[in-house]
Amino acid sequence: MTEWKLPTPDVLTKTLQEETIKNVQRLSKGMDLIYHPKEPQVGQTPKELIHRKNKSALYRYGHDADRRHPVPILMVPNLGISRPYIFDLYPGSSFIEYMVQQGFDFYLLDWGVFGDEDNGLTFDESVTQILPVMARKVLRTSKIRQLTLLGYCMGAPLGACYAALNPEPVKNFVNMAGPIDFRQGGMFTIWLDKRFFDIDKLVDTFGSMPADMVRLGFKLLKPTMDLNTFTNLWWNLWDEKYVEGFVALNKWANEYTPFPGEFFRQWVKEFYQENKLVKNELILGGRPVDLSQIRCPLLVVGAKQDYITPPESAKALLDVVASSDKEYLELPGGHISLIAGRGAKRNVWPKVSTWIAQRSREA
Amino acid sequence: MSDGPIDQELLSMWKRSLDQGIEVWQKLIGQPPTPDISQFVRPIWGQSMDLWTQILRQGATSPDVLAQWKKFLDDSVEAWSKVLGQVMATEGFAASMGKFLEQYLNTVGPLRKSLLSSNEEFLRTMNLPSRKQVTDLASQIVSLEARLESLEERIQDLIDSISLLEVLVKRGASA
Repeated sequence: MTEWKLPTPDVLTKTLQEETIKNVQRLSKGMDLIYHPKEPQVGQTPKELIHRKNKSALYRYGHDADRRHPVPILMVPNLGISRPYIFDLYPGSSFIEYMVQQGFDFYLLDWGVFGDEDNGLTFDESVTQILPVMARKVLRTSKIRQLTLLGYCMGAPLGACYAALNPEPVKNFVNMAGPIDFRQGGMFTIWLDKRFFDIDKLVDTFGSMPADMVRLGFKLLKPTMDLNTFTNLWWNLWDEKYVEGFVALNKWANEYTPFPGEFFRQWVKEFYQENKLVKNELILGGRPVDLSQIRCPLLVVGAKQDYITPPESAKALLDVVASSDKEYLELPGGHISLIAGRGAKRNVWPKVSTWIAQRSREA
Repeated sequence: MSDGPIDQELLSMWKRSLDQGIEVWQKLIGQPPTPDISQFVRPIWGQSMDLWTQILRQGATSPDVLAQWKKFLDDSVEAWSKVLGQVMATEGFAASMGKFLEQYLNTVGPLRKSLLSSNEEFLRTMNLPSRKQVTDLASQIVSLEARLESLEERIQDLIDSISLLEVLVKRGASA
């Protein structure tokens, strides 16, 4: 037990004054948040639309003058679940802005929000029809032969499948918190087990995986998360910077998007229930996906407290590729802490940026 | 903050009284309920109480009462989160969630189907396109777009090949 002395009256008065001021500020900011909510300005890094394919769009960030590394980066995020503006949250707290400032030619694939008309879209088509078109557009726009593929969350298995099927254009591959071995996929692996979860019935009933059900699934993963979030908000309510970050992050955290039905069916069946990817049993576009075809430099980034993609699940990629230059980084924080928040800017982004920069000298 | 042994004694007394209370209730009701929920809840409860004792034992770290309270709140939420996490990571929980989902789909499925067909009937009577017809049309546009795109890609490839050929011819001519 830590010993502490009773504070002197002076210290007590000062603490009391400080706390009173903080509480008045909390009250005033809280009222402001409730009665005059401001729409957060997200995604402010300058960008240019390069290509659009159905709902999916490819954006290029920054300006020619700032680009120092010849090899472009194509970031592939998750399809469904949430919107990709988390990568460009707001100035000073944006992964994309940071990477652009480091001199990278940065592209983001925004899968878009799919509607009922897209329920037939499969994982297979995303890898064999959308990703190759977007990668070609990147290479053509940057006038280069190879790119760095950066997959975040579900974007990592999507990217890994693409890299295994098309190894030539991929110079480097980065897996940030992307599940590869689904046997180690945490609670989702147990919940989506075929003995308990009838994916066919769900997709046949709704046609898609509705956004509200996606929200329910993620909220269930950590039921105390909202309580924590709001306690922390109350605690930091006096701090303008914190509130600004909270409003932007909260907007993103409550904006769930649906999955196209057939995509979700294939994702659950072949990845979570049958774990085909890591076993090299997956067939996409009529071709087997053999992860040992990935020979390029590989960086896997896992988050210690990630309950969406436990670090072991992401790390498994290192054992199945044929790359000789491969590295694993396990950083503190959870799934989102890798791409948003003060910790990400301090602990994660510089490491990822340095690793890529060292391998982006020539294509 | 009180020290270990007293906490422990109070906690054991409280646990004992909880157990005795459950026993008395079971006797009053007659046969123990099937399945015995207390058997499932008791270890979880015991574990969370252990965590709480641990938190209390760590004691005060600063004279700031509010900071103390916040720390206590965070630690106790974390303790509950761990306990909930352990419960939810079991096959029993997954099975009950699967059962719930199945029942939900069994109820919602036919309802949704009948709602969709009556909507469709109504729209047809009003001479308006149904949701299905609109989505079918959208799907056709999407596939048309895909065809156009593949044509565009082929044209681009041809242009690239022609430019390459042009360069080679120019080089050949200058040589």
